[in-house]
Amino acid sequence: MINFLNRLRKKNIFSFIALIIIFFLYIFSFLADFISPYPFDKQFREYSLCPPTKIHFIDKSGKFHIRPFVYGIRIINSSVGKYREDKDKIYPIKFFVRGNKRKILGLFPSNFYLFGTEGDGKIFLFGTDIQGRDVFSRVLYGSRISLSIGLIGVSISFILGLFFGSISGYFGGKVDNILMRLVEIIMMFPSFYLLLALRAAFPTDLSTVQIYFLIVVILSLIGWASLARIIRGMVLSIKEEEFILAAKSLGISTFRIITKHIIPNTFSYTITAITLSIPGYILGESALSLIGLGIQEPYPSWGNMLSVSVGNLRILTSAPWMLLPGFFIFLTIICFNFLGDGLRDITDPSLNTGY
Amino acid sequence: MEKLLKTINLKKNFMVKDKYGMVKKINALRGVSFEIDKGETLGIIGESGSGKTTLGKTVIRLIEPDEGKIIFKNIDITHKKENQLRPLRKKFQIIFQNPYKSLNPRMTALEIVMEAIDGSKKEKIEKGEYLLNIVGIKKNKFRSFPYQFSGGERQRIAIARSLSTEPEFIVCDEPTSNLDLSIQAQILNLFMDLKEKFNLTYLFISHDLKVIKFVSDRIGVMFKGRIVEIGKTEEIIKNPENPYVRELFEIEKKQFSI
Amino acid sequence: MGILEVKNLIVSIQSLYKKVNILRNISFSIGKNEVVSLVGESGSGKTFTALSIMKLLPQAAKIETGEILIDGENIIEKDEKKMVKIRGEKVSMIFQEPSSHLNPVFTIGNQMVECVKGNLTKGEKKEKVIEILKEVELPEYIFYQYPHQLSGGMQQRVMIGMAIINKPSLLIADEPTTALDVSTSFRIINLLKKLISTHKISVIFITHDISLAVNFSDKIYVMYAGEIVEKSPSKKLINSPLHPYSEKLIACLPEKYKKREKIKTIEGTVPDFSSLPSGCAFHPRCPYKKEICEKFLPEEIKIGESYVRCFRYGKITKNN
Repeated sequence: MINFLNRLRKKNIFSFIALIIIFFLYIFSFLADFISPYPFDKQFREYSLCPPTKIHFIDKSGKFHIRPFVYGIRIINSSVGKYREDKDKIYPIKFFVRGNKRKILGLFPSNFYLFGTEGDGKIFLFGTDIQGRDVFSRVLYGSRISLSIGLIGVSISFILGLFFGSISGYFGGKVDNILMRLVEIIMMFPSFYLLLALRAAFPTDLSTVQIYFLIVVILSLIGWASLARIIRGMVLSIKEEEFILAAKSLGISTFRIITKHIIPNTFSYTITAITLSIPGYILGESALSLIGLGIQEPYPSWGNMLSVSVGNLRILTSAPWMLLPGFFIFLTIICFNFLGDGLRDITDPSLNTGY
Repeated sequence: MEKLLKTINLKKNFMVKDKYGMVKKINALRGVSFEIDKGETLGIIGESGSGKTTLGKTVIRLIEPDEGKIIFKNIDITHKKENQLRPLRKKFQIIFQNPYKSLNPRMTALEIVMEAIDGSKKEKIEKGEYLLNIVGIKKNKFRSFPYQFSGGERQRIAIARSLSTEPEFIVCDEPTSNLDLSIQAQILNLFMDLKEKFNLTYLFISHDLKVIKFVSDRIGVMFKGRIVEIGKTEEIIKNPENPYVRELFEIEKKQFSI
Repeated sequence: MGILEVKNLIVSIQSLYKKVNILRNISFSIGKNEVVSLVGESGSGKTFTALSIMKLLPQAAKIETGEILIDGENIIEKDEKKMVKIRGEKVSMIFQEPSSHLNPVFTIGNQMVECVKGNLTKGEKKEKVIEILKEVELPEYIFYQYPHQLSGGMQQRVMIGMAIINKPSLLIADEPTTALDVSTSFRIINLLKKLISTHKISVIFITHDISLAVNFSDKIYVMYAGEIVEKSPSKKLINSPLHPYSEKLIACLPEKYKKREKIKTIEGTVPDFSSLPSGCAFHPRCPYKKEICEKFLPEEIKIGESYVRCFRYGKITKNN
């Protein structure tokens, strides 16, 4: 593993940095309960559309505080989003504070949080939305949906694609014919419309968990097709290689030839194809949520957080922090792209020839 | 002498797409019949297109012939289905020409040799290491990947692999054609040693007459899908009957003798 | 003054992490109508030598020092524009795989006409091509065919035709018959011999097949690890090789043995250029090695008509 990380770092530094960023994104998403100062649905109605709280080290009298602090928020006019810092009230940012009870990962009750303020102090690192909910916390909770759908969806597609692709390529004949026609039918539909159609075939008022699984399943069913076709092509050429003939002559079973000899030799392509397709799944979920067919309120996903801002000029001009979920989508996708590039560079066996 | 392998009138056609996309019918084998005694080395010499590689693969049923019979130790294996054939496959193996393509690039040398050995994991490793040792691979390279070995070493690994099922008969399809002269010498020596040690029978295919002369008890000359002459090495060399064979030997004398 | 003179040529190649010398002090000369075979195993540097003379080295390779004089002119300094003039007119090369050196989407005639140099009209060029086709014993209709319609032997004849059409004084043939059948290769070799005597071309014939080299040329240069270790007349090399590597290499020929006799092989393996032994590169595998062989590189010594780099024949040394 360390070897792999080193090689990646040497070969493609951007890819390595991307891997680290992705790693941290997933860690934060996992620890969302602990890191976010507020629950994702807690509304501070009087602080609707509050801009991000500034963090200070030097107060108005010029005194330096070792512990960073935030000022209180004086509400000028909440309905038009006017706020000013109340420089008389200083709230130090404390780490590992106690706050409301919450369940970490839905399992462990706890009231420990990574950071926060005490008393009346509010720390809205990314500002608040219309209902006064902390955007930072919602972005963290929302990342769970977006990031996990990518991984789970891709895993399912990957398994389906490998399975059908290798069977099709290895056995050929009728099986190959039928499978590839099926693949072509799936690929024929513009994927976004197919996504909508499949989603619309189900009632719109399912529970969040059900919706979540439905989205994952739909995305996987659309995604496996192109992977299967490419795997089939690779299997077709690999199965003619001499070491496959050698395995046959040794009496190795067909199942083992496919799993131990053929499929591992497709990895140089598949591994990178997978990392490069994860963004598609993230976007798919975001798109669904954007138009209201995805995760429903109050549960946050990066997509549905953006949907509020769509077409709403007032928000776009006066509350730009509402677009931060979009930035995170962008960041995640860019990182996966770079990671895919780097993986492709290091898993290429033709580069493994010595120096 | 027990006849280990017998072929009767083997025929095989292929429909092939060549490098430029044109489809042709190739008559690779047009009726090949011969026998091999146990313990013998039959050398097959032929130019490209003579069908010698097809013969090698057909004889151990990696290719199914269109017509004719293959009889191995009195069992007709010509049209046996793969699952019936599988247990028999242990007895006949093949070594390919290109050492750069005949090993799975994602398996270590030990894994490659161990794969077909029966038994517990411990037994597999033991036997695998033993075989790699016999063919001259150093212990510190047992867990290296093919790309870390030279052509000659890779061929040794392929040889060890073919021995892993304790075969009686090995088809050697131009095993030294891609190797340098000094490496070829080592590999030829290895083949001779292993033959004695494990009591093997070889079908040795090559286009190089010097090598064939060196390893074979009997020689069969192939031309356009048929064996045009077959007989004891010394007799054929001294007195070739077939005009094609005569021409071939003449050329070799003129071009290559020293 | 010879057609070609190579003096103290050192060529390196830059890999990801380090720079390694491939050709280490190559010197030789080829006179008019002289045919020399360059013999060596893979990794000896023989193809690199040919590419250096043609200045067709890969980008990562660099000529460190030395001179290459073609007809008295040093081509080391010449830029690509000048080299284009020299290639084909003074020096030509033919390669191992003829099919990969012919463009599949153009006719033979088209490609050959493209090779003809000089200020000639299209018609005159075509005439020249037809002439050459006759010389390489190909029928005229080949002019209108595509490479895929030709057999390997015919393709090689086309390549040879393209190489000599501008009447170069030196031809480099890099394993021209290795990919061909025995009978085809026999005919190509005969063709080459005929052309050599007709046009009085000098030839560097690169091969790994010693017996072929003996039958083709009068002189053989043996290469090992980027050096020419022996230069001898062919018959002399076979019967009494001077350098231990030549001796042991010839001993690897299966035709020197009775059936199934154990072949005397060379201990060890060809060294990696990035980790060559100190002193003489062959010493770890040499049965005659002495202490001096581990420390110093032998200089070339003349013995009769041969030249050899080996301390068995003298104490002349050069520091590593």
